[in-house]
Amino acid sequence: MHNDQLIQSALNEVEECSSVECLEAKRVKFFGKNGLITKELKSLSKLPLEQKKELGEKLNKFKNQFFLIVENKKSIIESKEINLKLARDFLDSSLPARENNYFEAKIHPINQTINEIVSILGSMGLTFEEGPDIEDDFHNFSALNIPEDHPARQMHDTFYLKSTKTDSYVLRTHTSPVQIRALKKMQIPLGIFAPGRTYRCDSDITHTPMFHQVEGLVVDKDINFANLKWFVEKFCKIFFNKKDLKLRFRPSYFPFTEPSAEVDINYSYSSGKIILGKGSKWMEILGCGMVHPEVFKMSGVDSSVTGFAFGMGIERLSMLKYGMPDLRDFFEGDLKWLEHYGFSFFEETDLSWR
Amino acid sequence: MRFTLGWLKEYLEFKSSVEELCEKLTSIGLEVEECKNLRKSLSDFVVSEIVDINPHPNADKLNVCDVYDGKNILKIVCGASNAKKKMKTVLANIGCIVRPGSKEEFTIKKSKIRGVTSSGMLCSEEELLLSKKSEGIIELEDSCIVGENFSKYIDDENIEIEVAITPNRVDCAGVFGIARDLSASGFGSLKKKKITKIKDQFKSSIKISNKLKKNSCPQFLLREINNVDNSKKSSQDLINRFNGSGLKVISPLVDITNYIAIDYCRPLHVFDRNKIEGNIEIRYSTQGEKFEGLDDKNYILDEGMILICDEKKIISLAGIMGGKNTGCDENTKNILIESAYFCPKRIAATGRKLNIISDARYRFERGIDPNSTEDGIELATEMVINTCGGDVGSIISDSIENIETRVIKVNSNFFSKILGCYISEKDVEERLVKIGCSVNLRNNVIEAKPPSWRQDLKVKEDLVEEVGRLLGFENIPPKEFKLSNQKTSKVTSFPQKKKAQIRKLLVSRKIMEIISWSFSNKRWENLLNFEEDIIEIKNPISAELSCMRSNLLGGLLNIITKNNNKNVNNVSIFEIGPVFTSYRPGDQREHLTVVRSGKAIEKSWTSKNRDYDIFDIKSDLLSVLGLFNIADKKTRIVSDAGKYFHPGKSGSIFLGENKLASFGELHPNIAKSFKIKNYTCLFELYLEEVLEFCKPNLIPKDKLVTSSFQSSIRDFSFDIDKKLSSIDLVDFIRSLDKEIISEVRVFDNYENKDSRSLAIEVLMQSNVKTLTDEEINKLSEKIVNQAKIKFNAKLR
Repeated sequence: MHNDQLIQSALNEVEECSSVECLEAKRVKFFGKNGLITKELKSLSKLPLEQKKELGEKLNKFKNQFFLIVENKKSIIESKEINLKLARDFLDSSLPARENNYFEAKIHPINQTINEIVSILGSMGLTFEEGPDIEDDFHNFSALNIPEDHPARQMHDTFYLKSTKTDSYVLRTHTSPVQIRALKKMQIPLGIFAPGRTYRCDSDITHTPMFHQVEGLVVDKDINFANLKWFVEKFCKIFFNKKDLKLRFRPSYFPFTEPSAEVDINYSYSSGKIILGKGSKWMEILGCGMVHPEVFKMSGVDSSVTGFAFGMGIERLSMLKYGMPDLRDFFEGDLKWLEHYGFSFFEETDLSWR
Repeated sequence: MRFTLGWLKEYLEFKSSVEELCEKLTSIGLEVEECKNLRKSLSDFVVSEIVDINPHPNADKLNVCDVYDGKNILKIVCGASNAKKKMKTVLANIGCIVRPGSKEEFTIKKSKIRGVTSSGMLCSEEELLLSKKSEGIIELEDSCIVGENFSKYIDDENIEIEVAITPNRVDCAGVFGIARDLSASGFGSLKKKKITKIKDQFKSSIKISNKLKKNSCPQFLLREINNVDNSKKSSQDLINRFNGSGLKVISPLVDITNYIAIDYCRPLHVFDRNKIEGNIEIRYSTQGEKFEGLDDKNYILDEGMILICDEKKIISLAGIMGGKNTGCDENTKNILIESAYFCPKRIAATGRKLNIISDARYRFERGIDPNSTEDGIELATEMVINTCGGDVGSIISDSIENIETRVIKVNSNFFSKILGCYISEKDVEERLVKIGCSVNLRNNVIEAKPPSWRQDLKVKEDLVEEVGRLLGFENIPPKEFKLSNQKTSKVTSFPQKKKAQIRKLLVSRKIMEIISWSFSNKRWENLLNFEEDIIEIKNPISAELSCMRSNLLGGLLNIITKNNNKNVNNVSIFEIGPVFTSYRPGDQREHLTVVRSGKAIEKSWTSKNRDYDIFDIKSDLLSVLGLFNIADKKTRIVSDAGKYFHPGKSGSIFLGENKLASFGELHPNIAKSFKIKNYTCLFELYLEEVLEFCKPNLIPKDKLVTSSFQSSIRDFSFDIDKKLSSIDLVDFIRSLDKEIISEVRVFDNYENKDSRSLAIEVLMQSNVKTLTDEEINKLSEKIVNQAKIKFNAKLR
């Protein structure tokens, strides 16, 4: 009888609980180490066998029932509490993200353009070569068949360095000296390209005293002008991502190539913007030609080989592809300009061309 | 080179359009830079007559004209003050483009002007691009027929063409030469240049002593003409032609020499005969001689410049500029015309040294036709007597007879080999003959003797270009190829790859990449260059860009200042680029410099704002070094990076004796010099040094070894000396038991005025067993005792 009352009061008390803490208190009260029912269970051993069995079964059954009820009750209370908390909790998710309230950083468009050129010319079998910014007269001029007092020298607006010695050192006026260095150093057949800084003593809307060029050189037993046309056309189509880009090769003059050509690509204007690959206007994009025999001779290369070379202005390529209006901005370091015209480091180059 | 269509037509007969002409010019290598063809761009404009004119009802300065265009009478609002009844003028109909091709071009639309509908516009000369400035609308001659297309009345001299002449093609620095090249390419037929030999009326008494006959001046001719009149103006025809060709009209005698230079690429000079004393001598200058040119400038001459002298003075710097002392003016009565051939190299050297740019120099240094001296003098004579009158003297000369011409030998299949398309022997021969070569073809070998006006044709490749040019590059089909067994297969070298990785890494850390000038200036170098000589440029573009940089910092700080001035205050930027340590090629080094300036955390709702500090920059630096596989090597950090760093808040990373990088706060004095107010930190990394220790990753990698036994952490808090390098204590603790101490980490640093404490966490873990409490306690004791002995670090 005493046990029935105990069971009933346990059930009642649990029923009245409205918090997890209360349930825990009741568990301790009845089934804790010194709980009321625990005590009963402990005293079972003193009872006669028959009674022990009967009461033991009853109490153990209740124990299971009790814990089930408590668990149910607990989960009901908890979910109520969670719902209550959810109803209370609120965060303005439109608040700014943590410490992210200024510029995204970008890769400079010149280096992005160089990256693209590396991908394209690399895929076409050329390797990345470099040369020094300060050059001697031999590499920048003489070896390129531009002897002293050649009219072409005047067109270069060369920066000279103040040197105590009689040797004259210049800031390279083009990337072509890398041709000489590669020819002297490497074995034929060879295919290289050399992007880098170049310098001319000129500064206005369309000229900066420092700018970038990329040089290309391919030399083998039987390289010809038709090969040059194919190569340049493929490069331009991939670079500008225009499969129907038209190219015009027109005769020109560079002392270090013969025959020489300048290459134009077609474009048109549409509401003030340049659209490449459409229309019948032409704009110059690069200079190229078959390597002049004098260049081979000056570089100590056997005259039985032939080769072609080409050179392009990287700023110009970049401006045409990406639409920067003013050359001078490239080196101003204006963060707003860089954020606008710069590139995410995820950019990849599409190499398809046909 | 600029010329009018009329001028070209004097030597070339052709039926093609101006557009076709321009296309051909470009395709043969004479790139058309500008073609001002008003006949085409004004083709919709109509000759019209104002039949009635009434004031605009709503505007004082406007009139409403009734304009007859040959079909209809249109109402046109016009503001020109010269508009009057019965006036013939040019009408731009709806749809016409005014100022075509210029930046200010616009299309005429039907519009209401102050309530009156205007169906077109009456044009001024300026709007038709016939002149740069004009007042009122154009008034046409009464003979013009109303209703006719206005372009019919545009003269050939108003159609202007400008071509770019490459340095090798001086033969085309004359209108006749351009006509000659066009006809050689099959465009039109060349009209021979008429050269009349004028009979002399008296024998000249002047004697020439040409001392340079055998080298620098093989041809030298003079002719006297007496009793000329140089006070008039040149003929209107010449003036129109000069206007369209961008040439200045000066005086008849000067105009004539300029005309022949542009027309026939034959530079000449005219002296005032009465200012010449005695006979003429051609000689080299000696060091220090003085010369006053027609440009009113005084020149001090070097040795070896070609001079024309009389018995008293230098009268001309040969092939470049005449002397002021013998120049012609409006009072000139008797003249001496000079026609000569000078060695191109001498002229180029002289011109370059004295920095004189003239039409004569331009032509002589590129190598004009040496056989044109006589033609030149006859052409000039004819023009002078026609314009200025005069009595013609005999031609006097001190020249050598023949100027040798070279012969170029080439296998006939060489053309196909270089161009990459088949060209028959006959085809080659034909084209070479067309440009004036005399050709001898025998046993598949071509022997070509270029014409005297093509001094640029020297080697067989030059002939290939000629054949290719005349064939048209567009007619050579592109041909795919593969390089035969190329040795190198790597596109980029290891350093190039690493640099690309650094760029990506730093951008991902929100540092903007910039590119700044390789130039620096004396102010920056004096501030920032502590080691090298200043490398100066002889001919800088400005004082601001007068040196080569010895470090990247100046450019970066300058960019920070510029951005701060635009109210951009948090600036994190980097550059990878060359710095220069000497004048010699190859003595350049590559640096990476990162600068962070301003707030690391802006005032924000999530965190307290704070400035960038050296530990931000150190974190950037270590992440970069992480790309270089040198983690397992023993680097050490030394406080005080020196140079432009704050002496107390900076450090350098060394590997052995090599300094890899320096980092820290910018020295306050430098910040001040660059007017930077915000807190600024930087690091610079010396790429060559780092790359020396960095090898490409080995593939496959070593096996990963981890301990499966329980680890324990113990924290220690030490009172230490204020100037102790924490890294020394950390390294020391780690060295106490390399087997068991797997990580040592500083997690707190507390300083006040007189003391400093450092909290260090030590991770203990064995690879072979679980550590017992006793072992851990023993090791902890060792740490405490040894730290005290070595660093006087007391456990708090």
